[in-house]
Amino acid sequence: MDELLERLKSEGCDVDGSMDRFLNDKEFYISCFKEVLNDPAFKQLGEALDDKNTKEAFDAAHTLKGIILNLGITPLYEIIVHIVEPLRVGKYDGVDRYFKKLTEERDTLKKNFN
Amino acid sequence: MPVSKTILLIDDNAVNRKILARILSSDYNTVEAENGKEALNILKSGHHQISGIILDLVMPEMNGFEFLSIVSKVQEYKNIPVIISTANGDEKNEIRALKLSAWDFVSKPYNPKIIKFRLKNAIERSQLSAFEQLKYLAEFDTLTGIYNRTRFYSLTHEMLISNYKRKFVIVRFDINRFKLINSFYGSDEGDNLLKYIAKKLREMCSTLELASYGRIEGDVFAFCTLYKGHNSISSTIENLTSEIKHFKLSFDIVLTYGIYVIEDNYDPVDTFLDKAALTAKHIKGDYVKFYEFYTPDMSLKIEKEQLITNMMNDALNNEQFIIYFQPKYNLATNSPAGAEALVRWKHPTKGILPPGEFIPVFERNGFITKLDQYVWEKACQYLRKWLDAGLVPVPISVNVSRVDICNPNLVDILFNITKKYNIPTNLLHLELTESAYTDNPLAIKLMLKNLHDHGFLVMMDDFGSGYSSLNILKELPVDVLKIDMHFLSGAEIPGRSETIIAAIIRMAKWLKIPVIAEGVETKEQADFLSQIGCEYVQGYYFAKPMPIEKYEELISNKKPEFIEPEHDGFDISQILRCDVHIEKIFCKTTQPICIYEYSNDTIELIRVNSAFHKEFGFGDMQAFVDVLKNVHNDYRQRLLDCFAYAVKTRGSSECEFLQNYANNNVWIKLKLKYFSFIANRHILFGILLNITSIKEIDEEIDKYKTNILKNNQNINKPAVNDNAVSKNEEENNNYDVKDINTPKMLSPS
Repeated sequence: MDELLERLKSEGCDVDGSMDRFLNDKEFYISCFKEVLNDPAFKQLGEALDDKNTKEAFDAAHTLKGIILNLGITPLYEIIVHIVEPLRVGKYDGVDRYFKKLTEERDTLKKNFN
Repeated sequence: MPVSKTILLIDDNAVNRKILARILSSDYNTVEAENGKEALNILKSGHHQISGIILDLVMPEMNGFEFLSIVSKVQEYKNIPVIISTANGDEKNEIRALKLSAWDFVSKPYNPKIIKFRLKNAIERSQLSAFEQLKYLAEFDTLTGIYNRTRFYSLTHEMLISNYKRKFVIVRFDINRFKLINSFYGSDEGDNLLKYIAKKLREMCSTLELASYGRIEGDVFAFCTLYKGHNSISSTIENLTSEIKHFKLSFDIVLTYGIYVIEDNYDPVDTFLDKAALTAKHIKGDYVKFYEFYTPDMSLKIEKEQLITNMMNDALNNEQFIIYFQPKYNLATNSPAGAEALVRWKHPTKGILPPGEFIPVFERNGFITKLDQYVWEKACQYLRKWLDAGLVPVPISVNVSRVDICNPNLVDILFNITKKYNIPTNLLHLELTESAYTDNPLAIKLMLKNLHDHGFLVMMDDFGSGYSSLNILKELPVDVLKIDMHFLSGAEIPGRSETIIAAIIRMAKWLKIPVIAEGVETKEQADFLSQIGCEYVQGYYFAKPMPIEKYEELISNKKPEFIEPEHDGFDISQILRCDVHIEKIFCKTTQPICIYEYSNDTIELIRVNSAFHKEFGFGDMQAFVDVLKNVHNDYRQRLLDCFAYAVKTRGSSECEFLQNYANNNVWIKLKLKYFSFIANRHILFGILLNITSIKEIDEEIDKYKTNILKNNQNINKPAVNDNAVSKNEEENNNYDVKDINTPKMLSPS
């Protein structure tokens, strides 16, 4: 378990900063981490972007941003902000590109830590 | 630390909820909801268990803003602190949420310490607010914002003790038939009235030197202030009443005040209020008195009334109220012309209770509306029964109490009852008491129109007993007037009541409104009514109120069982009318004619024709009331003798007299004909002839004769004696006057 956490740290995740929120319960953190990687909001965000549905896309991205922050998954956070902020003002500038990047990063994490 | 408080976590993301639940697990229980809708259901099923809420804003189904806006409007949820969970840097949403009465916010990523502190602070603030609310609830009336009973008691007690050497008075008041206001206009309107009264009470008390006030319960208010004499407190009450009456409602707001002058400031406040309440009860329903001071003998009457109040609902449910019918008769045809449905209380142990014992109580407590509706329905049931039996029933009149008149649905209620039994509305006559008109003239006018539109016939009951009888005739298109013969009793001036009744009937005839005289108990009254042309009568002399069986027997015979009143076939009201026939003989006659009333050496003109005005001018009104006033002193007795002779012989008489009309002396030849004796007055018919020019010629001739006589005397007596001539002239004049003065009495026709 510690090894897993160490690897996450090496991927750039703020595990130490987040552990406080999880009352230092590493197991609980890891279970939440795995859950976030499979969160339906990823799928909802993709579908909303395909449909050009700004509101739903923003809602999904916003949700993802919150949970990513809570778990300190910095690699995903650095991408998701580039999706949330344009969508907040109804723009798509580069959003698709960042979503693709987000999906790839999420998949890498999944592959490495599932 | 024992965990007792529960926090509701609302977030569509399960991971966020899990994290929050874990953060709070050491201090709180948590329940979770995926969206606003789910959260509202949790609140509905048990908001008392929720000490705080952490709310995400972006959610499907119902988002955080929608949830907040609903919660902020529900009184029960207002004390539950809501903390918003936002993503970092989401300032716009934070402000919007705070505006929607969110208590605080926490940002993601969560900082457990901050979350706990903010939650703890918010819960403490809400508890303080709840405590303040409890304190407020304990002392203030939530509806009106003034002190409640408990605080009024304690404040009054403190005031009385700290001013124990001074005398105080306590006043308790309530709104008559307040329940009806709620039921007629809705409880919101009732609440508005209570708030308005509280406002006026507060304003009034703020002007007093020392005062406490509050809402005791329901529609009951009270205040306590320094006693500065009966007049002072009466004036305060009158002012307050007048202020409260400004509240806009088409319902006569009647307040009843009970006043108790406190004897011992150390006695408990509730005993003062009990005495004031007893006093108020004593005058409930009194339309003249609306406040009264406590006297120790007031309790007996109240007990009796309370007994009736306790029994009334059972009595109605068990059909103890029995309908009696009192027929009305048409004197012209001597046949029943209708009947009034009256109610009697057949009590299982007390026997038949007369209406005088319970109706006033029901009018005071508002039960009369239920009883009236019961009577209306019963009357319609009987009418239906008679119609089904193939009878042609005469109309039944029912009473409509002044309380019913306040009911905006009255016409619908009456119409629906007639519709239910398929009764033509013209068979159900409605008797409205005259005094109700003064309560709310405009409302009655509108209601009357509505009743007429639905085909109902409306009788004005007790006409002449109120203060605005003439206004009613002027303003209200009533169909029938009812006058009570009890009006005849108790007049201080003999004959005055009879004259008024005769005048009412005369006036009604001119207005083409039929009159029913009720309460006819003696033959003398019946004869009198017949003589003055009253067409319809009702009363013990003709028929007492009778149970249904007897009434059915009576109407099946269709014969009145009373002795017909005696009359001489002459109806004075006929000659007072200006209908087609009377026009011919009276109004269009070119000779001045008039109708006199004569009694105790006073002569009044009660009607003159247009030729009279043409000949003598209009004169002043006083000349109508006192005919003798304008008659030359020397001829007054002669005129009186002429009237006395016609009256004595019940025949005719005539005389000549000198009268002053518009500063001109006019000689009149009057022919009198006796007609009738009505209401202690004799009615005589007069034909007048202006004989002034004839008299002038006579005078000229007399002067001529005198001169000739003088000349003849001068021939025999050359010395002139002025005194002698003067005396002779006087004698001659006196002779003339005496000659003319002798009334020429005609034999009675």
